[in-house]
Amino acid sequence: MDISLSQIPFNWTEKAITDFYKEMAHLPLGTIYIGDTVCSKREATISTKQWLTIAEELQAKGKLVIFSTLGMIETNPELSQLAKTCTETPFMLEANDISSVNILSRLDKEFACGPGINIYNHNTLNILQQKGMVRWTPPVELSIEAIADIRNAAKNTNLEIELFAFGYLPLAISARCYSARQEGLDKEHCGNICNKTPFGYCVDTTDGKDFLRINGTQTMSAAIHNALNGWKAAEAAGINSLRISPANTDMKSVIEQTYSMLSGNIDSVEIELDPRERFCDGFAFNRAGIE
Amino acid sequence: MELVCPAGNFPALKAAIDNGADSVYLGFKDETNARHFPGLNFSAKNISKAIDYARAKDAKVLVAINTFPQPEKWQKWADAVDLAADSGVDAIIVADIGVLDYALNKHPQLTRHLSVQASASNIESLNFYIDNFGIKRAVVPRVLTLEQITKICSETLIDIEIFGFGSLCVMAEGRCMLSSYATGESPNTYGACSPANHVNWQEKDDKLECRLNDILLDSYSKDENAAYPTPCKGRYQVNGETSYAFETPISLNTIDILDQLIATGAKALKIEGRQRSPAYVAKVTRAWRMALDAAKKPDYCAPESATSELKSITEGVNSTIGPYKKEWR
Repeated sequence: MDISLSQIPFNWTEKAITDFYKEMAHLPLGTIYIGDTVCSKREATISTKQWLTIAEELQAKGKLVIFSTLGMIETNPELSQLAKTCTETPFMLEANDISSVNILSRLDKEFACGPGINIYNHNTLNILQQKGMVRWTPPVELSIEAIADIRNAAKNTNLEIELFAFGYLPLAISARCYSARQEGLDKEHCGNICNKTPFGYCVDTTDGKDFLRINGTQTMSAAIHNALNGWKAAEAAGINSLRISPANTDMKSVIEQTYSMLSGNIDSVEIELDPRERFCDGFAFNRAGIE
Repeated sequence: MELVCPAGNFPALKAAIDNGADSVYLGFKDETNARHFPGLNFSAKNISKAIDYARAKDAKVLVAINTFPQPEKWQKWADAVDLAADSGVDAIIVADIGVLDYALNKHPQLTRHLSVQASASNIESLNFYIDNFGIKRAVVPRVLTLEQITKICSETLIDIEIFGFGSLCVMAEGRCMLSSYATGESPNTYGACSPANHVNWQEKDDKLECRLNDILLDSYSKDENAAYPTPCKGRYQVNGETSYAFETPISLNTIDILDQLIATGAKALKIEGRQRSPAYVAKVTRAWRMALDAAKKPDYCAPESATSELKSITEGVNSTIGPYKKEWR
């Protein structure tokens, strides 16, 4: 079982991003996803060219680098940028919108499919494998058991499967920017306001329970999904990697402990959270995600 | 522009066709469609009755098989496609790649539309479904502006269908798991958002509280209209302030900009609401028939009677033209 680091879901500052990857480069991670999947306006924070520099540095440290692409493509400039990224990037790409699948298969490139691609059964999986998919992170609402069912029914199991095992769950994407809305702005005139909130905005119910999390056009879980300790079930299901997504906790410790657990040195990962944070793991085990 | 109206059951189908729908769309009685609600939808027996009625009145029947099967239940979706083909429906509306592939190979002559649940929001995505599965029409997600729809229509030869009226999903359709995060069941996995068995209404201190699997979505005072509780339209606290953080309980109504919708080049207009009553479907269809007829003449202005008819059924719920206008974002 490998450990992969999911792309940073939030709009961090350029310095926060580069500092983060400097630290991650030394950790026992096989695969690191970079790039942004939420909003094309975040290119103002860090350009594709800067991402490529980060990618090269990580690759030099022996990491497999995968470039994640946008979760929803609406405008023609976004589409042109996507086509350029797919054509020119010397790293594997992760498709999160079917447009990327179309471009990458036309270019005859192998690619990864992220949780934004709706693969819920073996037949869809087979077709996307024929198109060039070699790595797959299933939709986050699929349980370990459901992933095993799909894998068992698949024609070709020569596929790296990752479980979204740690982090805020990406639950929805919209054309509307809720971070801008929070600040009384609209998406067109947002001024990249989402860079003011490194972990988004918590959305609580009016009786004071945490529920969701606003991250620009993306809606996430308020709680940190943590299925790390279910790794043996994941391994039995044919899953090859635990995908860990940056959250408001000590990520270095999360990754090091996960590595120790997978190496048999400790039994479980025990993370102390900030009092405002909470864990959930329902999706991994056939329950409501919030549980 | 083709008027595509919802038919949750046979009386609603009659209501839609009798009041001027060019097409009706419906689903079968299981989770193969995204309105899997108790008491709704069509069995194998009454689908032929529905088709006979539609044929006699020169209307088309489109069948939504637009959820995402998992391996264990795959056969249900295959059966739904077979039933639609054998019944002679005019088209199926599909979201899942595997189901599209099955339909293409097993029933190549059956017309395939791409469901809004596939969330194809750009020309590359549409081309994926056109080139691989020969779709003849795509319902585009309710996230696009008029400008973006116009562009898409100019870049493709297939028909584009857009939403004109009814509930408004504020998240890209088929890409939203808020319902399963709260309840374990989502449109993708179960065929319904906020399934009714998870919804609980309770009076508390002069307020009407609405919970979804015990999560408080909203609390209405006496003078407020309660809406069906979807997580995207709840009232929440963000930074200590209470507000509708995503969207108010608002619905889509584009009657005032119908001429602009037509000008995009879209070929069909969809009315949401398979969960609605036949009386509702009759009124909405009548209003939109009037509006579409009015729009055939120059200098369109929404007919007064159509506007008031729509107002009478939305019962004080506010309406919006939503993402069609940039500022909504």
